[in-house]
Amino acid sequence: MDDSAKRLLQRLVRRIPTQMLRDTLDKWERLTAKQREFVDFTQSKWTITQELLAVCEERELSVKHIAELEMIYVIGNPNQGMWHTFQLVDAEDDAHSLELVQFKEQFKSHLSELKRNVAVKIKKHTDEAVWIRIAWGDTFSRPNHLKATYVVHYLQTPFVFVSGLLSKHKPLLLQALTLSTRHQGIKDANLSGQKLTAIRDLLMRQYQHVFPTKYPSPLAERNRSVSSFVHLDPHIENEQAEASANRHRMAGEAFGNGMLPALQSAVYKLETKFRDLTNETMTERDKPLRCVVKFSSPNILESLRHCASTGIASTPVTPLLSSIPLKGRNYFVITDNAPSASSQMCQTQD
Amino acid sequence: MEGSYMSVAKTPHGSVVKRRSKSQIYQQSIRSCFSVASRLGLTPGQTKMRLNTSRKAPKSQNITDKVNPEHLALMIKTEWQLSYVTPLYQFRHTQLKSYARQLSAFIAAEKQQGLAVEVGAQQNTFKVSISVLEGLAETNDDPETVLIQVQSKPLFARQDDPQKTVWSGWLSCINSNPEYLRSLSKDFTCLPLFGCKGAEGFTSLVKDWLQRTFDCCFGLLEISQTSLQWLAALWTNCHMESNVQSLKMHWALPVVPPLHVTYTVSADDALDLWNSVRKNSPEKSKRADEEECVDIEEVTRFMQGLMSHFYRHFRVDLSAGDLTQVSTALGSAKRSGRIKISNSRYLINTLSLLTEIAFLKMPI
Repeated sequence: MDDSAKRLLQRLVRRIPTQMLRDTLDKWERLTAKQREFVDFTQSKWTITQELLAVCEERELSVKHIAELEMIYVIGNPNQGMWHTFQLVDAEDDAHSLELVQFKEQFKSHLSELKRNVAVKIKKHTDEAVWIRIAWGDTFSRPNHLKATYVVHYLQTPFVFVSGLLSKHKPLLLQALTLSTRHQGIKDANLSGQKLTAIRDLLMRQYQHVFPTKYPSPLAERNRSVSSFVHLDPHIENEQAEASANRHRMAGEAFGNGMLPALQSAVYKLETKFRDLTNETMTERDKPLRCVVKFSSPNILESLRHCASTGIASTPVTPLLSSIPLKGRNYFVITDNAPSASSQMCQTQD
Repeated sequence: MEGSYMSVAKTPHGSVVKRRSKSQIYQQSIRSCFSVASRLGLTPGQTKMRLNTSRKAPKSQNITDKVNPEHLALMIKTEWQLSYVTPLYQFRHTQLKSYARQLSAFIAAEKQQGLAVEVGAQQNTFKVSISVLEGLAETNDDPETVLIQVQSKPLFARQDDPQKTVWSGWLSCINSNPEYLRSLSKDFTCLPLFGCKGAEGFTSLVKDWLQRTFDCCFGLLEISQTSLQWLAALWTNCHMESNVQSLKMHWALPVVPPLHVTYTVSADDALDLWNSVRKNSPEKSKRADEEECVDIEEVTRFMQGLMSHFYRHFRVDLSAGDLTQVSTALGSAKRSGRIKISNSRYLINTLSLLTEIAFLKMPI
């Protein structure tokens, strides 16, 4: 085993919690049962590393195999690091009939044309996601497996999720993706976060969404739809019941009912003028008030929904906030001219 | 947001109205008896009961000629956890070396008592040094700031190995309340502001020793919403002289799960808003020093302006939550009592505000 393979293995053992390490090694299927038993997982990480190194040497495994191990771990634990989303635009006619084998070949060949010495691994996961691991090298150096980029793409959708990409490699990756998926361009989707599952669910609407209706519930059940502290005595009416029910309904319409994807932050860059009738001097000012607002929480969609239902956020919910689930993005630039955000286009040249 | 108003009860019975007005008179007389303090629920005491409603805008001060630059470097660009301290009994600035020896011995004894034998752990000896941080005092009444440092020396270190400071703290009093100081007996030294950083174990040991030796009391100094708003306004005001870069405010909204909002405004724009608030302020009388004096009303209107701009976009009422942190290039202040001063030019001003807060919090 060469140096890079050893270092990658050491890095992996340090990074992966011991219990998960055992499961990941089982899934990897590169070691025999006897070898897996040989490794004592109750020992310190250092001991485990030494034992694994010995066992991998026996099997004459190379860095490519260790990279596979890393990929299995990342696929099983995708909610780490920072994921950024891109959206493919202007599909060509044959984009819809793209098959996995075709995509794999095309992607590998396009990327190798653009950059020498890249190590690419493509794997199809059970949930229709295509995972790509790229270790970048260049004309003079071998691929660096310690800083691999991960790409997740769902064929037949225009969305691509990327993690661990350096800015110097970005144009190459985007070009290879665009060409191999038979599209004409790709743009930043302004959605990023630590939890891949959350941003994926948000984008692909894989959660319960409620559409606004005029008559939310049959009239007979009106009292029961209100929150739990309603008195059972029909002569006593809760004063705020209707207002509270309205707020809950509008909160649900804006953000959805039930479980919401665990998006953790949203950033708004505001460049709008200050307007307040009590402060004329400032209102007359020509320049915009530049500020940046960041919302963060273990689950901002739930927090915002709770804000709306408790009245901290006035209902109906402002489109600035409801755009997060509606448009599936969490980075916005708001200026006076265009209330919806501007996005960056990145066209590839053919 | 509006001032308080009295609701008028419209009842047909004349006698009921009379009774009500009697109770109002009764309440008013109670209030005048106990003064403002009773509204805050505090017993009247010697210290000022209310934070200043107006103060001088801080001006940049170059204190490098007054204070030792090494001492300055220790104080700034570090986050300190603040506490208030009641006056120290029989504390002498001349006895600092002796105090340092006593504290070292105390720490050594406590460590031996509490520590289980650890195999392979490094045995450290700790040395305490207590010194005076000269030059920070503003008035003649201010006692000099005292600096306490705990340094560790590994048991088998060589003579010339540099000692690592594992804990530092200071006791300070800047721009003190002269009435209060005069009311204390001569044996007491008033250093109400205590800042520390380092391991929690040392903090409690040092506090313990100070409490035992000087019969004083410590308490956590939380920086209230009002004080944080003052800092936001005053630091924005400083942008006229030194580049503050941006005004960053952290809010926490009480929802499930808790939502944190970080609202960062560019310093130029914040300053324009601040100046517009001051210009429109009706409280200004034509005094010579009107430029220098900042009123609480202006601070409130400044914050309201920022919150209304936020509301206009997000329709979220920030006042429903709490302001938890304010930071600029000049420093940062957290509600939990953590302060960081990044620019030595405003060190004295900030410490002066904090001293005032400490006086307010002290129970006696």
